[in-house]
Amino acid sequence: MRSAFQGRRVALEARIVQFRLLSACVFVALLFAFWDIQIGGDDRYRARALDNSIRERATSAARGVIHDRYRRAIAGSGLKMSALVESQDITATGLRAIAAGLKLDDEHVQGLLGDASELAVSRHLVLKEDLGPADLAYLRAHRAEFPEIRLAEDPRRQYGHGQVAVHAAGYVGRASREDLNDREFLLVDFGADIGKTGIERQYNSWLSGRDGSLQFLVDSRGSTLDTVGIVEPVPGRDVSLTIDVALQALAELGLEGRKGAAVALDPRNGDVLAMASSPAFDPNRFVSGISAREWRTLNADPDTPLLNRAIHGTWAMASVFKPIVGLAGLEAGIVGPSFTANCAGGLSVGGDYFGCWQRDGHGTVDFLRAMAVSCDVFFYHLGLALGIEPITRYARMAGLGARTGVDLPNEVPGMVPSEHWKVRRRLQPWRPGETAVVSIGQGPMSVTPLQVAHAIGGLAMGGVWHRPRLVSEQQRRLMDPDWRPPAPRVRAIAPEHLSTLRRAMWAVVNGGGTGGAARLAEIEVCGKTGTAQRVSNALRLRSGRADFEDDAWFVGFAPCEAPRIVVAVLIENGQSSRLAAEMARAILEFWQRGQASPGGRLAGTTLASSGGDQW
Amino acid sequence: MVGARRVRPRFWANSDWVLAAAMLAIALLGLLQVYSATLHSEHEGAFARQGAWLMAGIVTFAAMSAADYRSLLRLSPALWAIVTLLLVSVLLFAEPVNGSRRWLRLGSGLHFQVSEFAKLVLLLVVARFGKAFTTGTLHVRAFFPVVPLFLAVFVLVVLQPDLSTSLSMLPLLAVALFLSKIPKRYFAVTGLAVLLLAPLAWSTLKPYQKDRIVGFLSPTDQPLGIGYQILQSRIAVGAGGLWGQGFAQGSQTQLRFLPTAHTDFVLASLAEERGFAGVTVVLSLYLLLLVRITETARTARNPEGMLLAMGVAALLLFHVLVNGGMVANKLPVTGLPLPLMSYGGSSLLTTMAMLGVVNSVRIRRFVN
Repeated sequence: MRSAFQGRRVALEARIVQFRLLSACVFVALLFAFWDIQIGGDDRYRARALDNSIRERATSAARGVIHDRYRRAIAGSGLKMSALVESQDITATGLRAIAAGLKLDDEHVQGLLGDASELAVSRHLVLKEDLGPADLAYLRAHRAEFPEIRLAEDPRRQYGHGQVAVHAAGYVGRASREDLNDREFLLVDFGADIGKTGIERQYNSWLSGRDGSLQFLVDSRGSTLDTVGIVEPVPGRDVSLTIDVALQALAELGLEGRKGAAVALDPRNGDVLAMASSPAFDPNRFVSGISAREWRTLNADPDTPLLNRAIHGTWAMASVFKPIVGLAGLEAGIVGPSFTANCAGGLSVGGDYFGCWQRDGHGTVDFLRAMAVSCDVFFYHLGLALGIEPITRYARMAGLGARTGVDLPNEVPGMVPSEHWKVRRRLQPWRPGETAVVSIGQGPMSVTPLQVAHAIGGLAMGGVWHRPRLVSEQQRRLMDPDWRPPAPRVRAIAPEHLSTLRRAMWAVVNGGGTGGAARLAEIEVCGKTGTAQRVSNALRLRSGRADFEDDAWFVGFAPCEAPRIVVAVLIENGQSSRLAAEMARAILEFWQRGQASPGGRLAGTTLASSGGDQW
Repeated sequence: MVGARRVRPRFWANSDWVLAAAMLAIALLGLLQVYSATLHSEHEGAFARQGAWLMAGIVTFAAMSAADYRSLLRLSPALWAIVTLLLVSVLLFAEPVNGSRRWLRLGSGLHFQVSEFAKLVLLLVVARFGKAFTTGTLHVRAFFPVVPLFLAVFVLVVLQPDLSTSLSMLPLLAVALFLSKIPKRYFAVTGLAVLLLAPLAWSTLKPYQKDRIVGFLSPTDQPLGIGYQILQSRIAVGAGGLWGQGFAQGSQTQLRFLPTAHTDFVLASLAEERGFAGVTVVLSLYLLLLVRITETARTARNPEGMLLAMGVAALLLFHVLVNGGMVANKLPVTGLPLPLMSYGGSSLLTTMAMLGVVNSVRIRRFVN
């Protein structure tokens, strides 16, 4: 029975062979497909697989301690507890319940929810950093409700001593996206803490150390299975500042309740002994992740507590500019025993009338007297006799209108006007009346308190200006062995002119001048007062607004003949320079006592008793 | 009685032991991989259950080998009626799982996927009524009653809905057509029909089915959607490299990044832990299996035997291609298991029963 089936046998067997070929092709194609991924993929997929399963948690390094010049801590390191949760373990309702307990604001909760939904796989979210005792108590009490919450302990920056020198030391905070664009923060991870301002920022890489990490294995649900790697953090290194915390605290105390700045320098080397700015803020607020609302409030505060007035703000220099105009006059040979002016309370220049602060006039004054009583009319005459060019030249020589180069970020230069500037910027010729105004430190001139201390300190040193610094030479060499100290700026000034100037500034304080409030029995103080007008006198009197009141200046150095400290004090709306002079005296007196018996003074202060080694 | 003795099937001597060995090797490799993929997971019982299914499968294979396939073919109309009834009752009574009614509860936690069993029945139906495909020039008459019987089951599975399983039955018809002598004009008609129906087919796809295809085309677009499976599979396969991460050592499998690592993606899990070498071994075993099955087809005494063997070969080839292509990221994600390897009793039993039928054909290759 040879069937049709048997008749097609050959054809059918051919089909079966074709089917086998097809099978072989499928086999080869699949092998190629697997080869492509398994062999052609190199280690790419192995890395992806590791990426899937290995999570990393940064462990912060403790920042180095910021000491003052006597190794008392300004910024130390403490511990903080943070509440963490795995993103996939938390629901929106659960998060809101915890948020209420931990008093997180809505904005923060929204941010956390956004983070949680964005993450493809589970990562831990920081619910709250730097938990307070109330938070810890809450979490302990509600342990059973929130079993998914973990606590982690990390070092945190801690500013002690009632937050002394907050502007100079600066603060640390969470690195923002803008910060990460900065070259100096190339190696910083998003969300890590960095120095935001002041010394913390200036020497961030030295202070910060290197964060470590914990690597652990997780499964696809994000449950931690095992710790697979630990990189120990490298703690940051310490920095010693030139600041004397005791002096600094005194300066801050003096400014309390006012707006202003006080700077004390050692004119022999540029050491910043104190740099106070008021109002201040609590830098600890930034450490634990400042809330957006709090940040906005601080930023929008009309009293600008975040501003370091010593280097970030500029003011009219007023009469504390007179020593420089006087020196220009002396050097030009204009000021001499015979150069006098008759002050009748004002002076007409080219049709404009310029008053003296003393409406009744000072009568006939020579240079010494004019400095002592700060006679404006004398300096109008002197300025007009000099012309603007030498005034500008000597102001710049003294370092005014330029950054001093202090080792702090974002110093502003201020401004010293010149004929050239006026023509170029305002397309107007310079008028003699303007020279008169600039001669008494008013007009388009603006300086920082640090510049004033630096300028007068250099004059007191006989024309040697050391760059102001917060970190000593020795410390800088430690940070960078190749670092060389910048040479001081030296200008030749005739010694007899310097001694005349010194006598004039001595008279201000000790010769019945305007700065009598700065007089000290133990040490001879030279100085100059200043009262800077914010608006015209007429407007000030009419409006009665407190913020239109004059700014008060005092700059002084001691001892007069061989100065070892120069102090500049600015009090915004301080009305009378007497206030500034008194503050300067307090600083100088305190400093002098410390010089006389350092041990005694240090032991006597409450600041020293809390010790530098507690951290 | 010499003649009678000659025609009696000799089970031990004529069985295809190479086929049996390849089948067991694949099943054991699969069982080990199921063990590794479910280690410390909520599916940990899967290994023991799959082991039991494998035992049952071996018994089924032996029983099917011993049984005369022609008796099975005679039973096929009745089996067809049973499977159709079961499919209807699945549609009516089964609890939907993931939106589809596929499993019949057999009590004591056992579930049976009727559509897998339906494949075996359709295999028998095609062999029983498809003789015309192997003889003479194909005529429309050859489609009757094979195609209506086939379509009834096909549509019932589509309605579950389980498009991939129903599509996986098509190779049975396709291979019959492949064996037939088809006039050229048929190709033209078929080509035209496919061209016209393809857009229509796309529009009737469920959103999740479209998602799978789109997800396959651009996996990184939706890391947590369907693309997530594809991506994790590729990572698992790629991480395997040449020699693999080691048994029970693959992080994608062990840490559950690879979804359905013991069922549909068992080959990805094996690729991760046994590497390209392991994949090559497994695919070679499948190829060996195919060679042995087609050898049985080639030596079959009758059209029924050939259609049975070729049907099994086509089903196997299709499943390996679709599942392997999916794991290697070359084909879209479908719910098709890898025969003999993927966890699941219905698929394992059905496949081993089919291979038993093939062996039965082989044993009886000298019998008229």
